Amino acid sequence: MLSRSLASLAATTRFVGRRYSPALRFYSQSVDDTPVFSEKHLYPAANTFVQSSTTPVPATNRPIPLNVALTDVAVIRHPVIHGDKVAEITLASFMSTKDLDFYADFLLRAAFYLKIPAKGPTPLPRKYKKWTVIRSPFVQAKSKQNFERVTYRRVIKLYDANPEVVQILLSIANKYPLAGVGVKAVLYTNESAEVVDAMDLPSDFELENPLAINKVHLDAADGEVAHKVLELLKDPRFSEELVSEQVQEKSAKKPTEKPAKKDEQ
Amino acid sequence: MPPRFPGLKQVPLPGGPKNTTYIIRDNYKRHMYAENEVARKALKYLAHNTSLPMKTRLEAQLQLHQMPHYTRPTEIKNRCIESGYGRSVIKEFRVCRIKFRELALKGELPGVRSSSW
Repeated sequence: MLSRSLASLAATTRFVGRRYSPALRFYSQSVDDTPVFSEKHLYPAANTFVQSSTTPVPATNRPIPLNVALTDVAVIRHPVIHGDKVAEITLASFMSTKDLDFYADFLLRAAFYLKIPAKGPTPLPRKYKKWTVIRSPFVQAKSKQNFERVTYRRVIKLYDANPEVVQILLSIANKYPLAGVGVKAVLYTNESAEVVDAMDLPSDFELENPLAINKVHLDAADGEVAHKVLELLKDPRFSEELVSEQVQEKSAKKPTEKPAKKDEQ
Repeated sequence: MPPRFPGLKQVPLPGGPKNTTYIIRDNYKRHMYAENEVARKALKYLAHNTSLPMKTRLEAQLQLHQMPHYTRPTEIKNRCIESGYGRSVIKEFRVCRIKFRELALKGELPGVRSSSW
């Protein structure tokens, strides 16, 4: 009786408060409804006890860890605030979408615990690769057989996170791979426009060596080749002046053509 | 007459199930190309660079021509790693059409299955 009356009292006061209190009415007009996710909303305050498991299950008399219990619920996501895309994780599988969705779910949950706002998994179009081969090992080339491989793909997009945190998520994916599911990550970073200006300016090295090679060649993946070119150019054979006799000598070294059959006869 | 493939026996063999003569030769050419790749590319760069004097370019072209045939990338041919067959090799699995069909029907190529439409 007591509890019921208390409940009804609470309901009436709430109703009255909403409808008639001028202070509350004023407040309801000016209140900002946009969600606030400051630290105190997202994380527990320091030195507070956080329950890491549920109450013991009567059947086993053991508690279930909270993150395990949360697997019954759909993935919880942090809202995207700034909308800066940090990474795109593409999952690919040849056989089934079942493993793919399971692994995407796993990564999204990991992203939640790392406080990374994530979107996905978005299905991408299937890739069909087909091969047509001759059925027989020898002749009978008219009879062929077709083979195919279908690649199923999913994309997870990560937003607003530091590169270090994204690396942690990727290392989790690396540590707990799922057989038959491939993971590819494309990371995005923002640079200032000054970088582009600096690329246009010629470097000191380029000003010194205007003809042969530029700094880009040395820094590139085939930098070894560029260094070899510079080494070769130091050889006097490459830098001596061209004399017509030398050309004739050089061309004489080439294997001469065999005399035509008419001459032999 | 100098040997056609000098030092053929010193080159480590590929680890495939079957080493035919042609596979061993091809493997040799791949090793020789890898050894001389930097020099070849540097000479080619000098020979093709129109901003350099003619003398330099000619010298580079002549040196490039003097390199042995087995250092050329065009000598390399993809062969079936299972049987050594040199024709209709499927690049993705590095096996010829015959072995490809065998392996695909056995289910040893991931995701590949018989298709019909």
